[in-house]
Amino acid sequence: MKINNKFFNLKVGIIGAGSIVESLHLPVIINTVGIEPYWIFDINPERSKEIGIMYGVSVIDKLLKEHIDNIDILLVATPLFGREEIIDLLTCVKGKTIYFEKPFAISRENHHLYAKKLENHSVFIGFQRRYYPWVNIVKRCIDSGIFGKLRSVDFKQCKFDLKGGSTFLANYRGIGGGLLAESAIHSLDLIVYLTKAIDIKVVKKEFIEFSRIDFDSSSESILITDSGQVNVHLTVSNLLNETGGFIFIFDNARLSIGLNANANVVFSDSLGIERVFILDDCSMGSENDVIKLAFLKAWDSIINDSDNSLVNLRYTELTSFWLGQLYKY
Amino acid sequence: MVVGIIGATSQVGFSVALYLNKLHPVEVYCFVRSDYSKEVFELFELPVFIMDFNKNDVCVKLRECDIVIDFSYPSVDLFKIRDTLTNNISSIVSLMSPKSHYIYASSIMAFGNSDKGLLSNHFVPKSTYAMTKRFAEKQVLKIASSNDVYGVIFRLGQVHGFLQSISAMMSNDISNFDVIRVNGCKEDSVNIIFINSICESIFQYVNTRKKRHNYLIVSNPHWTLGELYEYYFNRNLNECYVDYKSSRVKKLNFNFIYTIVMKYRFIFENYILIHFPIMNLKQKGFFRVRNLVTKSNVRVNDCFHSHLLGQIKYNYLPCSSKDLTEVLRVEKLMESYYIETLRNFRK
Repeated sequence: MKINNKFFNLKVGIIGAGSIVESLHLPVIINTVGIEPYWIFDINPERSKEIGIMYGVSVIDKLLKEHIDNIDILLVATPLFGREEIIDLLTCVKGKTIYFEKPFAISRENHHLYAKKLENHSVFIGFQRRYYPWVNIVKRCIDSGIFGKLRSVDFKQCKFDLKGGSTFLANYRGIGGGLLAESAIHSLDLIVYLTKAIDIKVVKKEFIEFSRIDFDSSSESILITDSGQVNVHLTVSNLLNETGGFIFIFDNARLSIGLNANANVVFSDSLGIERVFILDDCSMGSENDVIKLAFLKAWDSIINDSDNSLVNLRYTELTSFWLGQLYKY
Repeated sequence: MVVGIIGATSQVGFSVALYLNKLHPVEVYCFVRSDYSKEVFELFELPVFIMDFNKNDVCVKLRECDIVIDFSYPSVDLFKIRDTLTNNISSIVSLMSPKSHYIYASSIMAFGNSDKGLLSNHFVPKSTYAMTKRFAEKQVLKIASSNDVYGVIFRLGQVHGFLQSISAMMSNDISNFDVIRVNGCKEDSVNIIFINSICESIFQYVNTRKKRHNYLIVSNPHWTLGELYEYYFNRNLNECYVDYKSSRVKKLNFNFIYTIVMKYRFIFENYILIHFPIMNLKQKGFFRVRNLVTKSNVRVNDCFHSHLLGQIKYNYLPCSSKDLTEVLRVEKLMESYYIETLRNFRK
């Protein structure tokens, strides 16, 4: 279902003037045919003023129902804990397209609760990495069964960082903060998406956390899929500095992918012989290029093919559930 | 002796605090901006204080420091950065005891190299970062002298250590690539420094009779490019082929005028934009939108390491880090201690 009006640009309202809006969403919105930024709002008026000047966008100093009535698409790029009010406001408005930055929820229950409140809208979640080139390659390998069944996935993300300056990371898990919810959730989502998991069970987890903020975690989960189960081992830490990435282990081969958006896919067969998949030049470039392209594709899919968009809300429930399981005491 | 670390949440700041606390007979105070990672410091028995100059205990602790080393760098827009730096430095130095030492951790990039290559001392620096660092250095010396504090600039070389991103990257590339191309010969000098050598430099400076105001903190004597890779091969127990003195060909799609404009963009930024905040913000947005999707012609499966090479005439402090075996021993010792502490805390 196309929602693009070919005569007028669709108006986009933006709540949240953080770095993701500044460096990615706004340049992408401006560069996307068919949409234009209409207003921006942030609880820090200085910040919204800066972004308003940077991109020539009107600034509103108070979020009212009328502002949402006047737009077609709403981008919500605020921390999870600040969204209850916004969602409640949206229940008084009908028929908008809402694009939430991740995470949408940190439990299945909350996911359903918010989805129910927003049932009159088309909702999308910021899992833009589903549009990375390597994700497409790995998906085709899994779906085709060319290397046999996928048996397990190892994921590691370890980058030493104690700053936590932004409030998102520094909020405790109960309100959407923490390393898993703020940073590693993309990778959790990719694993769910690639495996087409229908259920998840966390069997083991170890955390290093302070004041209910996770700094380091190691966990084992079992993902149930139509073709069997997949074991997943996750190591996520901002207390260590180590090589990170994904390893997909099949019956007959292994695929290794680094953490960069423009990572190559390294194939090793059962004899340990390695080959590097050099991805199609049309979709590759610097890491920044690939990230921007993924954002462009996400926005394009929302406008032009919303039912099949990879970031449609209905394809993201299990990610919220898995996060909830990992964070459960 | 009491050493205060400002910006202790940075990779270098935290590492220096950790190594000083564990390996050297000093008391370490860590000063941080938020309490996000306070408990991580406590886990490693590092006293930590939130930088709130309105609080008496922070002021008292700063006053107790014989040496303060400042690794902080403000994360603000260009037009705010100079004022923020000046305020931060003034606030810290004014609270220090007379005759104590304030060490500002600047960077080798302050010499003005815009790209990695041959190190040289540029009269006009080729990057905004270098301009800002030089400004900060001048402020440090001015403010320190007016507060009867010994101010000194440490221009740090490329910092290596088990918690540093560059070390993780080198280890990763050695494990994942068969060939690493580098921009120099095996015998070329590299301008690197390990964490423990930074710690040693602090004491070398304090004990030096004829103190200078500026030092370049790199391993002295210099390591060579070959020795650097040999260190990582020994550390990782893994090797790859290093193709010395290769160069990577980049195709640029710029026309001539744009090349000139981009070459002198730093003048535009440093002498014009810094005084016009609105123009600064607008140009930032303009370039982000314009450069949204740029196609790179660099082969994506290449691994190329670019290092800052060569030596320049400057003030150096002697340090013991020439011995690769000793450096590796200290690094492994600290890494084991760190990992073991985390392992014991996991639940």
